[in-house]
Amino acid sequence: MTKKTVTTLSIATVYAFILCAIFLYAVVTVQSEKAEVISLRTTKAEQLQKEVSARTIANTVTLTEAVRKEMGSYFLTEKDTISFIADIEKLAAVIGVKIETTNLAMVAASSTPSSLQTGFSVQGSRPAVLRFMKALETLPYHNRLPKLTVERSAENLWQGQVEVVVTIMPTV
Amino acid sequence: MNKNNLKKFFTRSSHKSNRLTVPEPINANREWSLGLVMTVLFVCAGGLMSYFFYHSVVSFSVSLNDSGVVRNPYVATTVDEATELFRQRNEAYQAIRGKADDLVEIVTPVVEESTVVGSEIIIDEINQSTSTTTEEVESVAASSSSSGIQSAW
Repeated sequence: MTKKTVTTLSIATVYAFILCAIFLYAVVTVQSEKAEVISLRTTKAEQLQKEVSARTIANTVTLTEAVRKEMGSYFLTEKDTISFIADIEKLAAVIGVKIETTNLAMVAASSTPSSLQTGFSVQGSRPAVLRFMKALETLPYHNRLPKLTVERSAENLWQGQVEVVVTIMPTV
Repeated sequence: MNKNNLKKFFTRSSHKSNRLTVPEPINANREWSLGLVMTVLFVCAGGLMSYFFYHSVVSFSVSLNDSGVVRNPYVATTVDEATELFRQRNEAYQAIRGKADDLVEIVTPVVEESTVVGSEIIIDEINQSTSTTTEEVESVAASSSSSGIQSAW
């Protein structure tokens, strides 16, 4: 090999190494940029999804305002409990039965909404007692009647026991 | 062609064929061809590598994590069914209560004077308005009116 050939070969080798280094640097840079792009796109997609979800919920909230108001009227709030009892007593007076509140307790649970547990002892004629029970059955509140008994206690006098559990809507 | 000439020809031919051929140290055509082939190979390999690398960089899918997204919990059909159920219950309740209110309006002044007269009036009122009540209440009303148990109404 002549000296000129060695020089040319050396320069070519150096150039090759430099080009390889640049190529590797470019590959590593592109890979890191790709990771950043993926992260940014994921964030953007999540934000977009949240935005769509929030918009949908906002629309739902707006569209269901009347329904929610109506549904809200079918749930007792904590401050309505006294008026609820008064309402039941008034109902008893209207129907014509004697009523006695045997149980009144507010039950709070962590997993379920709190509820108002009430118990009533009813006395009156058979139709009146049945009517009162029917009225309790159709109370326009989210409730259940875990116990309901009616029996005749005397001539033309019937007695009933009923327990009503009304769901209390949590105040927001 | 005589025998000597023929022998001379074969001798020359065989001598030439047995001769050791020495390659030329630099052949421009050969070197250029080799260089071009290698260049084409490098370019093709680099192109393929770049193509696959480009696609590995460009084509990726974003996987979304649903934990941060609040799903719309509103189910219109369920809410409509529940609303309708509560409406029906409310109507039934108001019917029972309304009837009782009507009765009381009539009963209250009459009962103070005469229970019998008041009861008759009450029964009439019930019979006129039983169309909105349940069958159970109707049967109770009928039985009470027929058996003479009228004070409750």
